[in-house]
Amino acid sequence: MNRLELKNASIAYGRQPILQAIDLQIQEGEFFSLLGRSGCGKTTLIKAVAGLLPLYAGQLLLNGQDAGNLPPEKRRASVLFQDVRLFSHLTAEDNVAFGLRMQGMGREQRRQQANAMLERVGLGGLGQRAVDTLSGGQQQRVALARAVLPGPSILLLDEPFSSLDMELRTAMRALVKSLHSHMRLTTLLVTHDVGEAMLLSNRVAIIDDGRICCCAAPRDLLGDPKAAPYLSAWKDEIRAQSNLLGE
Amino acid sequence: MRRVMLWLCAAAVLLPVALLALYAVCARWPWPAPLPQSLSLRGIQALLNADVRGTLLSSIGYSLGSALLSTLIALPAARAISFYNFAGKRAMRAVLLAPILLPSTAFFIGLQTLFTRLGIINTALGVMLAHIMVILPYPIWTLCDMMQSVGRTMEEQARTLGASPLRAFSAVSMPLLLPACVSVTALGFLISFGQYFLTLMIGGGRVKTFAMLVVPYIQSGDRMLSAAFSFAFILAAGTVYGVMDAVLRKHSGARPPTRGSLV
Repeated sequence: MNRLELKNASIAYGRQPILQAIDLQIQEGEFFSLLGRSGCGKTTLIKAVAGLLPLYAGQLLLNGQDAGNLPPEKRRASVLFQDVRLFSHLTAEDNVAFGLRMQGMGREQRRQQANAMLERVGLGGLGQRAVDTLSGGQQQRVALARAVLPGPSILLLDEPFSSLDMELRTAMRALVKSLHSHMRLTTLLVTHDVGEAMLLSNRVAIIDDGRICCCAAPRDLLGDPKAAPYLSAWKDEIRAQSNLLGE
Repeated sequence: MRRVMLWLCAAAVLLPVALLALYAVCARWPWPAPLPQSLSLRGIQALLNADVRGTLLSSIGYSLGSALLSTLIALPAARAISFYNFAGKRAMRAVLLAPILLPSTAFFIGLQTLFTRLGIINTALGVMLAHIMVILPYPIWTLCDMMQSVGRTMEEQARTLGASPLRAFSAVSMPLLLPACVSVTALGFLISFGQYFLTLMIGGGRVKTFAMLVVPYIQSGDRMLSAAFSFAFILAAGTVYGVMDAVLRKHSGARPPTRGSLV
């Protein structure tokens, strides 16, 4: 069971509220996206779910248990940040195996699992490379492999594709979708890219002015008048992309 | 052009040292003879004296101990200054700069008075504490820069992967800070190893360091002995520095460090 629930949650920097009265439920194995303009508090929400920021008010439940006071290491919420945050003193293999090392797994076993995961993300044979000798796309794959290998309770994706070019972005989206399907990872993606959210997600919520203004499946969201002002600029693009995917 | 500059810089450092080595075995070199007229091993024999060797070793011990302790104290201090807000932070920054900003004589006299009251004057402990106070601003400010450069984002990432705060620091931040730690320890060693006046004031002549042997020879006008002791002084400092650099290179992980290397 890997279920996330936020009840009337508010998050603030000091006394300045960033997000207010956030209510959302992400079911086990669901791919959920939060859509919002830059600076609307998406990363803040990711950090709060990961335990890197405290809730100002409200409740955060993981699998029905109050997790608001749990430290990050107890939440098992892996984050893939936009700036990848690879550990530059470690090889690609050691980066991927980091979570397993923290779980106390033996060296040989975690090496095997890390290399199998690297193979799975298309980086077989690159395990011994220093991470800063890898290309941007390869670094993103290493960071994704590192995030999913420990078997997180929830995978948090903080605009992970926004710095990639279109070709890499498409490849990474496909990889994330494939890992999500195969591992049944409960996933929360925050993005300002409407097409990305619509293509990848089971449900999408839109944050505006520090609150969730609407939440629905992508196709339903297109007909939601509350989402219309936000989506109008992208509607044609979304329809075109949906048609391409035969949805 | 770059090559020529490099050679000029190397010559500027190495020629005086070579000259010092020559003076250390030169008994007579009158002007304007281009080469020494007679050689002698008197300087080297003086260096091989058991007391001198003992002083050299204990001096290396004091300096290495002071430098290591300074780095250990500087690590949490630099972290606090870099990442936390607390009452008196500005005052603390000023106090930490005091050994550099205040005239050294005034600072040393203050230390002497304080250490006399504490009963640690004329002791090795007093000398080491005094050396630590003189060294401390350098590792703190260097490590502050490095801490800010490494940031906390890597530790945050490590924590989301299951690392406790201590583990995140030791497994992620510390390896990235290690080159800087070795560099500042080496720098601290050199600062401590060269202290004469402070050691004399706090150690009162009872705690002997190698610098205290060298200075009287230089003042005595015995060129051979002062050259031999000065050369040994440079050699000892250079050797410890070199060993630290070698350790740093050997344990720098998957690739040579790009920051914080001693050379």
